[in-house]
Amino acid sequence: MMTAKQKQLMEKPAESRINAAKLGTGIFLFDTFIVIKTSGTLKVFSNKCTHAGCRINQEIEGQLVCPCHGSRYDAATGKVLKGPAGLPLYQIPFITDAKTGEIIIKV
Amino acid sequence: MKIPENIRKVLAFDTYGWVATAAIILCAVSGALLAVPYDVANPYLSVTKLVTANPAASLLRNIHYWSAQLFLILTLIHIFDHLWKGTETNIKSKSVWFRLTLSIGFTLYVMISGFILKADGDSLQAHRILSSLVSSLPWIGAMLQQTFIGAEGNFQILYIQHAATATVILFIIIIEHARSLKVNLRTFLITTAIIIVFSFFFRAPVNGLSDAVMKGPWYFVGLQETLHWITNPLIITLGLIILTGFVYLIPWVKPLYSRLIKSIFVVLIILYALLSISGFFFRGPMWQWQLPWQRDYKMQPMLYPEKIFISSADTTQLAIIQGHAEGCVSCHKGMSGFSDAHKPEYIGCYSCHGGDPLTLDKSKAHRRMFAVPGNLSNAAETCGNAGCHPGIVSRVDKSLMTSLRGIISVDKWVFGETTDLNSKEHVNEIGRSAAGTHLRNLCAGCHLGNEKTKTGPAAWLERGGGCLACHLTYDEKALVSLKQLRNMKKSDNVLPMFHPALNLNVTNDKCKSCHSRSGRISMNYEGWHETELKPENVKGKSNYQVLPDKRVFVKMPEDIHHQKGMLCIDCHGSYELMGDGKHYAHKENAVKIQCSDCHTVKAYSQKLLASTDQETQLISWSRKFKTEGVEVIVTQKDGKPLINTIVEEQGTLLSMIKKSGAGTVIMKPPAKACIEGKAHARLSCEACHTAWAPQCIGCHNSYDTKAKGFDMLKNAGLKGTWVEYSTEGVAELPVLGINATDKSKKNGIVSTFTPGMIMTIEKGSFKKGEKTVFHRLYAPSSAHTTQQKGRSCKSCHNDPLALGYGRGKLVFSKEGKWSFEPAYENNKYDGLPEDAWTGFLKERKDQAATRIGMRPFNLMEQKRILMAGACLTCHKENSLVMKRSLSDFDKTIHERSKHCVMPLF
Repeated sequence: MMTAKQKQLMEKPAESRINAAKLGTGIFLFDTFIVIKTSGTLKVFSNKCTHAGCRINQEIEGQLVCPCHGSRYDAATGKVLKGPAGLPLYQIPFITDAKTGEIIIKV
Repeated sequence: MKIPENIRKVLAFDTYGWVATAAIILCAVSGALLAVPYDVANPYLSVTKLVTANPAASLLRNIHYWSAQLFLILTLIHIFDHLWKGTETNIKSKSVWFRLTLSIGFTLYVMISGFILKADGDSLQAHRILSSLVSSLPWIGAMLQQTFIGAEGNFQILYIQHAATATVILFIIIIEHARSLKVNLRTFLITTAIIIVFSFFFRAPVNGLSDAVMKGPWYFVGLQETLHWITNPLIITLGLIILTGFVYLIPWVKPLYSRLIKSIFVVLIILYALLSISGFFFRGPMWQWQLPWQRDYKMQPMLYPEKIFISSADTTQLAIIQGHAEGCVSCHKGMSGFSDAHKPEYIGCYSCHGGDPLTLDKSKAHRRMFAVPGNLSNAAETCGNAGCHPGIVSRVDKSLMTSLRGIISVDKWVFGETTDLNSKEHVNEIGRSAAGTHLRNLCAGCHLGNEKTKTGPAAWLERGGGCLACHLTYDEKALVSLKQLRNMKKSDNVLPMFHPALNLNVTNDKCKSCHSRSGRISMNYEGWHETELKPENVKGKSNYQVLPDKRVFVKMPEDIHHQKGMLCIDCHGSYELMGDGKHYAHKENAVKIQCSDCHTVKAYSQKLLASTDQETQLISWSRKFKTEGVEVIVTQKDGKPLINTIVEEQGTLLSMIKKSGAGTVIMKPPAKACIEGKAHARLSCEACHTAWAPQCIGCHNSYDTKAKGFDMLKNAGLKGTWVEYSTEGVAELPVLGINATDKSKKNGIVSTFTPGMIMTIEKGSFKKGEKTVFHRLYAPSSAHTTQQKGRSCKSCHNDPLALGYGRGKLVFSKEGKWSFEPAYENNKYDGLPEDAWTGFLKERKDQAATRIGMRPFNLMEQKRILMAGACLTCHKENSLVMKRSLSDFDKTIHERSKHCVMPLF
């Protein structure tokens, strides 16, 4: 018999909490997502290359680069700058914890 | 033919099929034993521990790997053999052939799942790709993905399927196909012996987690290359399924179609082989093309040497770094001297030095190691590793300190080899033309790509070294360790205990080796001017400094910033020195900071340090700056934060934290004279506050075919060299001129210049038939000799050197006539005095500077300056009338007394 807590955990998608205020501006590569923070905006992209699913693990001069097949994305918008990828990076929605100011990213 | 026949008999000890069966049996047995130490929860840790410090298990792993490779190769040959001979028709049952066809897929699945289970960086990416390819299949994709691949980062399903299900299915199919597993004992023993011998010498690959190059297993490199060219991977997945369908059809269709299918397969196999070669040999980091003649071309090893038996290593002391075993740290434990960010407990040794981290054997560990990491030839694999500083390494390659673009383009321009002073050049592309050789002989040693070949602090003339040029710091302990290392014999078993630090302690000396030449800004800044004296001339004299290259410098007024204890990097930040990713033509384009960023009544732009970019944050962390609530200046040009500044009280009270550790310095706003009125509105700060600049009169360049020369790019001596004959440099107030590229003022600003290239080039000495050319080009100068007090009014308005006429007597007569008597004779090529930039009350229409948009004063500007000069012949500089003229010069002239003599032009 599953306990209420277990049930809650089972239903709750994995989430990450990031204190965005302490990040500064720039491009931050996490295990499963990428945070892009400018002075006025904050975006979270999936780090999964839309081409064949590789993990994007490098940022070079504002471009997010897939190490497997060489796709490049504009870090600011997630748009494809160079193939083989054809689709932009998936933008992950997030919410802000009013109490702590952290952003909560459900992956 | 008897001997070859004998050899053939020995080699072909059985059929491909039976040797493959022997290999798969060996693979299954070794796999079952390997399953015990393999930890699904920490796969990479368990694999690296096993490879590094468990010789028996490591051998077993090698046997498992090599037997699997042999099985795959022989299976493919076996299939090819049957199809080639047409013996596939021997199988009469469609269901048996169907299962055999499916077994190709199962074989590849078992192989790739094994590749993934080693859990290194390549494996993790392969897991994602496989998952993505399978999931993309319509309708059944999700089910197949969940059944055979599992979630990202979770190897449970893959482990079970690899170890049990797929293997069992494969065996069932083999038994059905071969009707037995009874391999001839001789065949089994020979196959086992071959595999064991191979396993002793060659390791089953396992790589790092974030290596620069990510490649799949050898049999899928062609697929990886194919994927690079195809936007929708579903095409590949469906294509593979369709091809499998065609394999199934071969025995059952008409012979004509059967032959057609086989022909298509032959073409596809050739194509796939070519794609594999392309992927394996010509793809580098980020799957970019890399060609063998590129400086940083690196081919991945085809075989990884193994050393199973290790004599003296203590396997119980194996170091675990960030979730994986690393042999290097196990031997070099206890080493100190590292900066916080580069401590081995965080990054190990392998991240920087390469080599083989998965062994406790010294010689093997040090193979393919970078003794000097950070050279630009290896930076992509060391400092620029995906987990470290890849973005910076890419920027550095485009920076001026790496490319030398400005120097090269100007040199080529004066030699007539380019018509563009901003041409795109890179030091790696310098050829052996007249200009190319000139650069190789005299200039091209100073670039970051110059390879550092020896460990230890760089000697004076050792320039370059990539990242190490600035970031390598040897303290006393590290120097002692280095000495010990150099004196060590091979038999000594003592390890160095102190490592040099890689940090941000970029002292002025790091800049000096290169920047003590040409404009000599490093020396100017500290108040030293180069002379023609010899060391013996100044022995015992206190006012002189002899550099390690024997050049003698005399003391001059130092820059006020140096006087206040500031280092070069207090002003010049990371986006200037390492570049910002853009290609700049010249240094003044790349520099971000301006005097007015700091010396202002109110900061033009400011930002909370905590909200600056990641790189700035890291530097502030490294320099242990307080970040909470601290606001810093943001440069007007390109908006880069000046990390070591502090802005207080609504943008006022600006101060700077000095890198030298000597506290802070208050940055004063400009004096009233600088900002009031419009007479000097076009003046740059440098125009007034530069105390002196090293200047030459001119030089002559010719090629001496017999003299001993040096190729600074090859770092090798050679016969024949360009020789520069020049006059002694003088330290004087700089010449003034117009920099129209500065758009902050209409028609540009008044800036400082020095003779950049007043030179003759005897081109005929290099190539017969060429004519001697003459150039009179001045260059923009930022002398770095700033003084608090500006130069006098007369030093500009009444000085022929400042106006660009050259040295001599500039006289204003009672009749209102300006005249100039030059100190130097007129040059035979252009009729101007040797040291002049422009003629007296003349205007140059030709290219007069080493930059487009920069020029000496035009006639109208000269007249206006001399007009004020005329006033200064009677009125004192600090007189009321001269002060008033600063606010409105035209009004002051209009209201002049009847005694004033206006100049007649």
